[in-house]
Amino acid sequence: MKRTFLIALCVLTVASVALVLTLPGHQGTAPVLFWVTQNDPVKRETIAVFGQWLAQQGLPPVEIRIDNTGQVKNGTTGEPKALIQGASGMGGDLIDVYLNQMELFQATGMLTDVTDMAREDGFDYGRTYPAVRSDFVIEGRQYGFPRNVDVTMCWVNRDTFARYGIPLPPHRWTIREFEELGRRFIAAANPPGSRHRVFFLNRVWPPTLRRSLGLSTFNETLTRCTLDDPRNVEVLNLLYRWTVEERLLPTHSEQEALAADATGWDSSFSLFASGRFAIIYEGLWALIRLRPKGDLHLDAVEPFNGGFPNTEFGTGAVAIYAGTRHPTEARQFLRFLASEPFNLLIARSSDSLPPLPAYAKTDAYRRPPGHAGEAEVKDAFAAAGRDIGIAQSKSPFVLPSITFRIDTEAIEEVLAGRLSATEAARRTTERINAEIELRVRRDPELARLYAERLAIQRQIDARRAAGRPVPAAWLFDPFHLAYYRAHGWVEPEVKP
Amino acid sequence: MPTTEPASPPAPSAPVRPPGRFDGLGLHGLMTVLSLLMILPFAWMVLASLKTLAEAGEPAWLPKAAQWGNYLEVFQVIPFLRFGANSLVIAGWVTLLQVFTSALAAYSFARLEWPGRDRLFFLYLGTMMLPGLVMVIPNFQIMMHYRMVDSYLGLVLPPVYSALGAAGGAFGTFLLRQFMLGIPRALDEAAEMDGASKWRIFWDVILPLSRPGVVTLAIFTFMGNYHSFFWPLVMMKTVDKYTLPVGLLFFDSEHGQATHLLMAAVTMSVLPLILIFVFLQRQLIRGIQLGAVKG
Amino acid sequence: MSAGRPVQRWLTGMAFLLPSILGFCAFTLVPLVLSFAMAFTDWDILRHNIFHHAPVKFVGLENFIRMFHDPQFWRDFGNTFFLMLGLPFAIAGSLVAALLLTRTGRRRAAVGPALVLATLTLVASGLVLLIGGMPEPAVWFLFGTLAATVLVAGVLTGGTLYRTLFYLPNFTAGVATFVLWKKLYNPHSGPINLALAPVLDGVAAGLRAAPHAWAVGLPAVCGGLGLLIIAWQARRLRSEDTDSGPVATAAGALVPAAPLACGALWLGNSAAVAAGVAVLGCGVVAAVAWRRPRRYGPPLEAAAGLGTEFGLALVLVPLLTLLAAGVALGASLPVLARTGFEPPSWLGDYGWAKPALMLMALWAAIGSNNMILYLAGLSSIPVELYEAADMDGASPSQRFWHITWPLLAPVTLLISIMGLINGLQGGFEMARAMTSGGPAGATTTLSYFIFIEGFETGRLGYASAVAWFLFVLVFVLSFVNFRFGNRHAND
Repeated sequence: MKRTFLIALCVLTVASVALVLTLPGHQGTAPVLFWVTQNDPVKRETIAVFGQWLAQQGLPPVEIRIDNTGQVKNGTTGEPKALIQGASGMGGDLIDVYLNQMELFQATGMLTDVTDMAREDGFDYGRTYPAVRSDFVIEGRQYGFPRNVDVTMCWVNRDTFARYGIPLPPHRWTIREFEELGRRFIAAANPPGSRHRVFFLNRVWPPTLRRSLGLSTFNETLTRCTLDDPRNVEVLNLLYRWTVEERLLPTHSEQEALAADATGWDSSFSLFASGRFAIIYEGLWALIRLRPKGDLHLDAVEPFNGGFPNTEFGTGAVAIYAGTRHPTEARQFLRFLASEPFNLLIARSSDSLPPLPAYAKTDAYRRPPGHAGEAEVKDAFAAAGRDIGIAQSKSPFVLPSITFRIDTEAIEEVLAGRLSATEAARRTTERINAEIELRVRRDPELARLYAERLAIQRQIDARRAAGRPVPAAWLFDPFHLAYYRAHGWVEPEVKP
Repeated sequence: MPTTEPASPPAPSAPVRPPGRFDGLGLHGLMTVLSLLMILPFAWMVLASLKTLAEAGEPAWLPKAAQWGNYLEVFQVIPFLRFGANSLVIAGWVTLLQVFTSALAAYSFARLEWPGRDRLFFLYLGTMMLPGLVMVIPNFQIMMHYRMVDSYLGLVLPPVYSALGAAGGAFGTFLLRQFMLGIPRALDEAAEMDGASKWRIFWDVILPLSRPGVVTLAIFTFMGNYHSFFWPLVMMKTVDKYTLPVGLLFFDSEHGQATHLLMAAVTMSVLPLILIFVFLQRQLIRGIQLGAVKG
Repeated sequence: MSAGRPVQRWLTGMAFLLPSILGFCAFTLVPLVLSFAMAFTDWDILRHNIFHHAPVKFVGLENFIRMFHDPQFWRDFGNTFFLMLGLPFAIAGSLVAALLLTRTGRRRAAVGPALVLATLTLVASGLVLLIGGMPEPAVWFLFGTLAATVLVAGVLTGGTLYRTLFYLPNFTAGVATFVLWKKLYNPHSGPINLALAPVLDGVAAGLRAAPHAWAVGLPAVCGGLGLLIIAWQARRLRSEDTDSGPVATAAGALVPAAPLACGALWLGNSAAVAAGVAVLGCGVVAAVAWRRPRRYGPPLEAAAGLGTEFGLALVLVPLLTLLAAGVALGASLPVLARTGFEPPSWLGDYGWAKPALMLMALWAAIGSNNMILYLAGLSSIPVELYEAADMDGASPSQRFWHITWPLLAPVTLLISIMGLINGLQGGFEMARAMTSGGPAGATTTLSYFIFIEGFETGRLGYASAVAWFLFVLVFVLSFVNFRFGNRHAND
C-alpha cells in the first residue's frame, strides 16, 4: 500500500513534468486569437482564406484557433462555458453569437460595441440584409457582423410526391392547401392497418405560423407578450390537429426520438432522402447534408401561410469580446467577413446565404463547382431572404432562451393533451410577462428604457385606434415593422 | 445523530460456501445473461464506431463493412493521445491527493479523540448535501483570483476537495471513516504500547488494514474524475490542456455530430479504464484477504 | 488512546486533518458560504460581472418566496421525487448483483457442461446466420458468440470477468450510454418497440374477440387481487407475532395508499398529490389508532421492523399500482381493442418519459459503485456465522435476513444516504443529454432547474436559493435515514 502510494507519486510527477514540457509554446510571433465557433470544414477554410486575405492586404499574419467547446447545442441554449468565461474576463477573442445568445451576451457587457469601427471599416449593418439587422444590432448599436445569414424554407423531395401520386405544393401556399395536400399524402403513404411511419413534414416553427396570421410574440415595442390571442389559440389547435389527430407531422419529441442517435439532424435528412418525410423545414445549409445523399430531386417552397407569407431569417454573427487583448486583429476579422473572398467562400459552400446580398447573384452561389443543378433552389432561398424573411422577435426585457422555453413547454403540454389551447396561450403570456416584470423591477436602467417604450406603445395604440400610420422608428419588433410596411401603416420614410 | 458503527468487521475469511439455489452452471448461465445486458451499450458503441457516418444514423446494429479507418481518423481530427494523457494524469493526481488527504482526515475522525471532532465531521458530511452545480461559480471566482484558470493546477486542486462533477473529499472521508471504524481498536492500542507515534500507527497499521476502503475510493475517484466534464469545460481555454470528455466535443458541429468518430474515440478512451479497473480489482480482493489474515 | 491534555489531543487530531481541511475550507466551505449569501441577493450574472458592476441588492427571502410560488418549481420537485422512487430498486439491484458475484467467485462450476453449452450457443447462432443470411441475423450470431465467450471465460476466470463486465456501464458513463438508450427507446425503429409491437397486436386481437368480457373481467380481477393484498397486509400488521414498532406499522399501513400518490406524481397532477397526501395522513392515523395495544419500548424500538416493511413495500407498491392501473384501464378496453395498441413512444410521451429514464437509471445502477461497496461489505462477513446458521438448519431466506442483511446494514446506510443525495441532486446530465427536460417538462428535475436558472439565464441568486432548499431537504431525509433507516446500522 505504502509502496503503491510512492510509485503513484513518482509516476504522476514524471508524467506531469512531461506534459508541461511538451505543451506547445508560442511558435512564431503572430498573435493568437481564440474564435469560439464550430469546428467544421467551412470554419477551417474561413481561417485559411482569412490568412490569404491578410497577406493580400499587406497586414501582418494572425493565428486563429477554433474553440468549439463553448458553442450552442441544439440551437436553443448557449453553452455555459462562453457565459462563465466571458463574464469573468476569460472569453475567446472572437465569439460566434447565435439567435438566443445575442441578448444574453450583450446584457453581460462582454461584447464590444463595434458601431463606429464598422462605419470606418465598411462592415456596418447596412451592408447585409436589413431583415436580419435586429439579430446583431441592439438599441441602435452594432455588436458584430454576420458570418452566415440563413433563411428557412420547405425542402420538397419531388420523388416522394411522385411515388404516391400527390401533386407538388405550389411555391406560395396557404395553411388550407397544406392541410389538404397533407391529408391526401398521409392517406396514400400510410395505408390502413399499417403503423404510421411516413410523415408529411418534419416540423413547423410556430412563430412563423403565428406571424402568417398577423400575430407576433411581442407587441410593437417588445414590452408585452401578446400570445394570449385567438390567433395563437388557432395555431395551437392546428398543431394539435396536425400532430396528434391527423399525424401530418411527428411531435417535437417524436422528432427528437426519430433522431434517435446523436447525429441529430442527420437522421431527419436520411428520412427525407428515403421518403419518410415528404417535406423538411430547414435552412439552406441542409444542402451540405443532402448533397452526399445521392441524386435527389429537390425543390424549395415557402412555408405555408395564413395570409401573410413570411419565414424565419436569422444570422450567426461574429462578435468581438470586450476583454480581448487583440482588438485590432479582431476588427480585421470582422472586416474580412464583409470582403469578397469570404462571401465567395460562403456562397460556394452553401453554408448559408452570403452575408452581402450582392453575392447571391454570383455563379459561385447559384452554380457552385460540381453542383450546377442547384440554381433554382438557390434562387428560391435568395428571393425568400429578400422578400419574406424576418428576424426572430426578441425583447430586451426578457431573455430569448426563457421565452423559447416557456413557449415550447406550453406547446408540448397542448400536444400531450394536458392543457387546452386557450389555457396554454393564457399561461404562456402570463409567464413571459411575469419574467419581463421581474427583470425590469430588478434592473433600474432597464426600467427606464421600459418606461420610454411603454410611452411609445401608448402612442402607437392611439394612432392605430385612430387609423393613422406610425413612424418606422417606433416599431422595435422586426415582424411588426414588416407587417406594418406591408399594410401601409408606416409613415412615409424620408431617405437621408 | 447517532454515529454509525463498523462498516466491515474484519474476520478470517476462508472460502465460504453459502448454499445457493443456483447450482454451478445455472449460476454461470444467469451471470452470462446479466453480463450480456451490461455489455449491450458497449457492444453497440464498438459496432457504431465501425460504421460510416450515414450508417450511424440508421437502426441496424451492424455496419455493412467495418470501417477500421475511423480509428485512424480520430487521431487526425483531435490530438487524442494528448487529451488522453491529460485526462489520465489529472485524474491520477486527483485520486492520489484525495485518497491520501481523505485517509488522514478519516483517521483523525475515526481513531483520534479530540474536542469538537464529531461536530466537524457532520459539517463535512453536510457539505455533500449541497448540489455541486452552485459551487461551480464561486469556485471559478476563486480560481480567477489565484490565476489558476486554464492551468493544470486548477483542474486538480478543487476537485480533490469539492464535489465538482465527481464526489469530493467529504465523500472520501466519509467512506474511509466507515472502513476504519471497523478495524479493532486492540490493534492500534498494541502499537501504541510499543511506543509507535500516531503517524506510525496510521501509516503502518491503519492504512494497510483499510486497503479495501482505499482501493474502493481510488476506483470511484479515478472513474469519476476521468469522466468529469463540466468543471474542465468551464475552466479550460487552451486546447492542449483539454481532457478527453471535453475534447470529444470536437466531434460536434453546427450541422450534426460525427457519431462514428465519437464512438471510436470513446471506445479507445475506455481501454485504460478497463486496465486500471482490472488491476485495482485484484488489489481489492487481495487487500481484503491480507487485512483479514493480519486481523 | 485518550492520553494527553485536550489541547494536545486537539492539536494531534488537527495535524492529521490539516491537508484535508485547508482545501476543504478553500474549495468547499467558502463557496458554500458564498452560495448561501447569494441565495438572499438578486445576484444575476448579466448585471454582476467583470464588465457590469451594478450593486448587489439584498432581497431577503424574495428568492424563496418566488420559488414557492413558482409552479415550475413544484412540478420539478414532483419529478425529482418520482424519479427517486427507483432508488430502492437500484439499491436492491446492486445488492443482488453483489450477492451473485460473491457466489460466483466462490463456486467453481464444472468446466465440461459450460463448454457444451457454449458450443451449443455457437452452433445455434451459426444456424441463424446460415438461414437468415447477412447482415441483420449476424447480430444474433455476434451475440451468440459473445455469450459463449463470456460463459467460457467466466467459468475459467471465476468472478473477475463478471465483475468487470457488470461494471462496464460505468466506463462509458455519459455519452455512449445516453446515445444508446435513446436508440433503444426509439418509438419507430428501437429494438424495444420492435419487440413490443407484435405482442401488443396479439393482445389487441385477443381483446377484440370478447371486448366486454375483458372490460368487466380485468377490473374485477385486478380489484379483487388488490383488495386481497390490502387485507393480507392489514392482517399481518395487526398480528401479534410481528416485531414491528409503531413507525414500521404506520409505514406498512401507508402501502395501500401509495399507488394513488404514485399515479398522481406520474401524471403530474398537483390536486391528486394533495388528495394522495390526505389519504396517506388518514391511513397513518387509522393504522396507529387501530393497531393492537402493544408495549412501547424506547424510541429505537419504535422503528423496529422498518427494514422489513420497507422491503415489502418495494414489492407491494408497484404491484398495487399495476392493479389500480388495471382497474382504471378496464372501462377503456373496448375502445382500445378497436383501435389497437400503439407501443409507447417512451421519451416522447409525457407519461412514459419518466419510467423510461428510471428503467435506464436502474440498469446503470446495478453494476455501479454501490455494487463495489456491497462486494467489499460481503467479503468481510465472517464465514462462521453462515456455518452456525447451517447447523441450526436455517433456510436461505433466513440466512439472508438474519446474517447478510444485518451485517451489511452500515454499507446499506452509506449507499442509501449517497443515493438520496445523488438522487435529489441528479437527473441533470440525463435530462440535458436525452430529453432537454421535456416533453412538457416531464423530465425536468430540480438540478436541471438549477442549471437552467444559473447557467442559461444567469440568475445565480435564484439558483442558489433552490439549491439551498434542496440542501435542507437532503439533510432532513438523511437524518431520518440515519435515525430510522435500518435498526441494524445503529446497533
